[in-house]
Amino acid sequence: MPAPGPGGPPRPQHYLGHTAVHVRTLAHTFMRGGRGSLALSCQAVIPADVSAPLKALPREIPAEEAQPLTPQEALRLARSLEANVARALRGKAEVIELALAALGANGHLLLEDVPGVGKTTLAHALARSLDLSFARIQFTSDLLPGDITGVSVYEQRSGQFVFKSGPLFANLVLADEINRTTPRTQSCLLEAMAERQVTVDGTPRALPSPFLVLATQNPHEHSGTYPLPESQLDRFLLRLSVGYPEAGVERELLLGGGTEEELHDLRPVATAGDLRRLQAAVSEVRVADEVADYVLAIVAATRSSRFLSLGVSPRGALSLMRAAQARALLRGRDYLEPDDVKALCIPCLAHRVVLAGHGGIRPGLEREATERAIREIAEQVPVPV
Amino acid sequence: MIDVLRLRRLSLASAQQWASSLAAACAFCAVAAGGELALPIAIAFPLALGFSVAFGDRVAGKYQWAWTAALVLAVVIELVLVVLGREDPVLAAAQFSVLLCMHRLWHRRNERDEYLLLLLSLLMVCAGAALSAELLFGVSFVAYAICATWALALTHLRFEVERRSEAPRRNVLAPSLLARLAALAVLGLAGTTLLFVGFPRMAFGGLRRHPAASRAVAGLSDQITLSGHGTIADDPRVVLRVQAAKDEDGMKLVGMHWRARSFDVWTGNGWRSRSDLGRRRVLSEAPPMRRDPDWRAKRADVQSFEVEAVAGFSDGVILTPEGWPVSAFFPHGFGGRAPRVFRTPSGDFLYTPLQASDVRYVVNVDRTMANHAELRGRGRDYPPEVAVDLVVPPNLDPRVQALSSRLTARKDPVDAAASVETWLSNALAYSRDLSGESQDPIANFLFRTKKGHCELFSSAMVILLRAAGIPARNVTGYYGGTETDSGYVAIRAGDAHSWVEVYFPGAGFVPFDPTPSAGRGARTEGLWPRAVLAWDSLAQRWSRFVIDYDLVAQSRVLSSVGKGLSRIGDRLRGKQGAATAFQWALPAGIAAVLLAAGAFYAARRKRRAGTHGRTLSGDEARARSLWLAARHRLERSHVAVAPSAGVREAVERIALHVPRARGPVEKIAEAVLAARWGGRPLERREARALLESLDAALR
Repeated sequence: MPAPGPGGPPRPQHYLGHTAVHVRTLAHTFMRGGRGSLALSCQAVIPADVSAPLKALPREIPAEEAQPLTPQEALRLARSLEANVARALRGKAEVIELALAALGANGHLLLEDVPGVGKTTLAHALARSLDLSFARIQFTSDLLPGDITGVSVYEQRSGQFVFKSGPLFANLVLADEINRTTPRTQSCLLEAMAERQVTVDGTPRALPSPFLVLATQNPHEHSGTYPLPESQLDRFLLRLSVGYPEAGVERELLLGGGTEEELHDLRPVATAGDLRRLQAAVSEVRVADEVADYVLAIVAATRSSRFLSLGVSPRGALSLMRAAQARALLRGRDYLEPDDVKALCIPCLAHRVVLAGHGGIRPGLEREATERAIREIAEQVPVPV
Repeated sequence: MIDVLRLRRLSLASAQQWASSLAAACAFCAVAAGGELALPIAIAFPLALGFSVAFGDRVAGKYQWAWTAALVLAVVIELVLVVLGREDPVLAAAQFSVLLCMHRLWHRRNERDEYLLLLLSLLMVCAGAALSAELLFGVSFVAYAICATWALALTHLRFEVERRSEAPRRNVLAPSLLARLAALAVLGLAGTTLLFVGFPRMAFGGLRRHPAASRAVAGLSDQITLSGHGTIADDPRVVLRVQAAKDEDGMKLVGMHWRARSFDVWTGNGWRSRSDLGRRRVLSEAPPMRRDPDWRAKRADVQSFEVEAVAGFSDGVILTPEGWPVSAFFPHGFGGRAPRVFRTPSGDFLYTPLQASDVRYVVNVDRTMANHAELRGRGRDYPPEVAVDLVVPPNLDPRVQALSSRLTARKDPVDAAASVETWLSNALAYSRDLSGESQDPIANFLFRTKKGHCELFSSAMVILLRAAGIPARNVTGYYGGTETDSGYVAIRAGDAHSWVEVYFPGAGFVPFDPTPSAGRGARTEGLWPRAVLAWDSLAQRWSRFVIDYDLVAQSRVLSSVGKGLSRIGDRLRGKQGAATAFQWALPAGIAAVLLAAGAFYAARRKRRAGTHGRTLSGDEARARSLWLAARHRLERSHVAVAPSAGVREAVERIALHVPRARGPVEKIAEAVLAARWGGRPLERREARALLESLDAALR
């Protein structure tokens, strides 16, 4: 795909009516040095080839840009983003909201579903709507860590090693079929996801901000896969499944000839700066003591549940609160309600726990069983009034 | 998944309905056990029960006006009957409770109806206790207790599950529920025991009434007809329970004659009692033989028998065993209404009939009986009062006269009686098959059929002896009995028997039994007689330990409880030196327990409040109480919100179930959430207005 040059269509600089600040998105930066995409099995859909040295990337955003959004602005942002993404992924408002919540909470998403239900479409649409750089990595069993992080190449002219960054250096990374690659490559993602940096040849290199990994895996395929270890699963903020569209939506899709065109026509409605401001606002969402206790009660219940052998970690508890805060903000509130927490229990906690004695359960049903266990826990813990 | 859940819920619902229906049925059995319910009601209730199980869903809530009219009509009818004195007030109340229960059976729509049904069935059980205290009531009561416990638990479970239907919880059977049920059961048990021990007459005897009509019983009627019967049925019902009043070894109880009445007047085809003599109060009276100088020296062998006449079988007659009945008395006072005992000149013991269930009395009998040698040679100098026992039927068959002469010619009366007795039991056969012959049954028995039952044998012997000029009379009662595991001898209705008493000057009437011994007594084989015996054994215990639990027994129990308590107190106080320490220990222990309970309660309250010890601000507290008030109002409209449901979840559920309340509830939810979690202000006026709008919507 040819990269749009610097003379591309003019883009609006601010969308939310706040003080006009010239926002230079990472995508712009990347596009400036637009080159071809990386070889191997990774392909960058939106040019992800970054030739510019990493230090040129704004790691920390300027203070005025990090000004948190007000709840009303957040609501407006959420509505416009949701509407935009929904043009490409129809009838999945809930999934889109949760994906936005993950973005807002600065967390990573694990999409677990069968092929062809719109996982990639979701990732594309999000990237386009937010004007973020996007890279897609197709994980295979022969993929090596260097293939995704990048490598140092000897440049004859200068007689020096120059770092050629891999597809991981993008705002939105679609890690497709993450369970098809070896644990070695999977663990390479660990550092990137947790610390938002990669270490190549002993040199740590910061990843762009915002950085969101959107991994997919097919839960029904088991041969030739390497199931993600618990430690890696714990690093995903939410686990979602897109699910089949409803009959009416699917019919529309059939008759309308798919959504590829809409996806292609998607225009950004927000900038990475808006996203950063959203992220800044999330941590300011007010959490009452009782609601925090409610989160703790749910987490404690997973640890003492007889259905689970491994409960939720403190990171899980923090993630649950963060995700719930993001959801509250996206709904135009600057305070957290117990309902936010309860609604996020399954997407946020189900992949972090291990079912007790699940040897007898078919792997395909394990997920259902854990979700049921979490649902029951959520139905048992009294909601603070 | 959803289908399975739905099926489960259905089965739970139907299980609950069945349990409630069963409880109602048991309650009905309890009230019907007395056998006094009006026939239409007794028929209508099972029908209503069946209909409610089959078509309950379709008729529930319909035809309310008809039901109201019917119930009002029933009240009016019952009131009129009571005022006119045609019906007992207790019975009227019981019948009305049955009607109310029927009404509720037809209208079972929600939780409230189900609980009302249980309450009404409890009312029926109470009415049953007032109507009858027989074992059948006891069994119904126990069955009711079991079914009602099921129904109570299942009703709670069912509606709890339905209330949380959008997210079914598996742990409806929470430990707290089980604990609450157990506490309820223990409380009920303790309460019942206390009530029973403390107020025995209130529990069972107090309101009890007794049917005035008693059953016709073989062996106790005051008239005997020898023909016109069919076959005597082997009636396995128990009529008497006999045991030794004192612990005496080797006392013979099985195979005795239990004398009820004597019959002196021949009616042509049967017997009737003489009515020319009065009766007198019984006082201890020595047997006539005691006037004999030889007998005075003999040691009297007086034995005491405790006889229990089963309800409905005691017809004012005291049954006395073989020997001379010295005296009889009722050990239980019947609340100052102790019946009076009479002795007729012919030796029958009677008492003024009383309305009671089982009648228990003690008979003292002098068992020393004269042997034939002692009776011989007393001559034929009969006093005038036995003249009626010498009357021979005017149209006596000459063959009878001839037979009498042949058997008794030139013999002492004792030997004559013995010879007739032996001849009858040897020459004639016993049979329960009665012929329909009504013309001279005696001659027919002696010369044509040559077989018959005990009454024919005894009647024949009396006629034969009277023809020979020896005074004799017919006596009825029971013979035999069956030993039971409960330590008493059961005498059945089928044990009814008839024998002969022959008069000897100076010795009075002496019994003879011409019936072949193989033919006496009831048949006790077979499953049915055994089942009847087992039931009677239960009934005896019920009567002894439940119904006859009276003031004496109560005072005994209470005094033993008091003694036990004082013993514990003594032990606690211990020796004199340690006394002060223990005296302080008890109140201190009680205080500690109370304090711990208070602390537990306070902690639970705090935990329930969900504030974790934090003091809420005015707005927060107001928001919280606004939501709780709204929830309470919705619960009254049958939309319950589970404690695990958040406010928004609850709003969705309410919108689904009570669409008219949707708007106000949404407004309340927004205000509550913003004030409670978002720190927004919530004015008291605003809260009140919101609540009023909800009230208006719910109205």
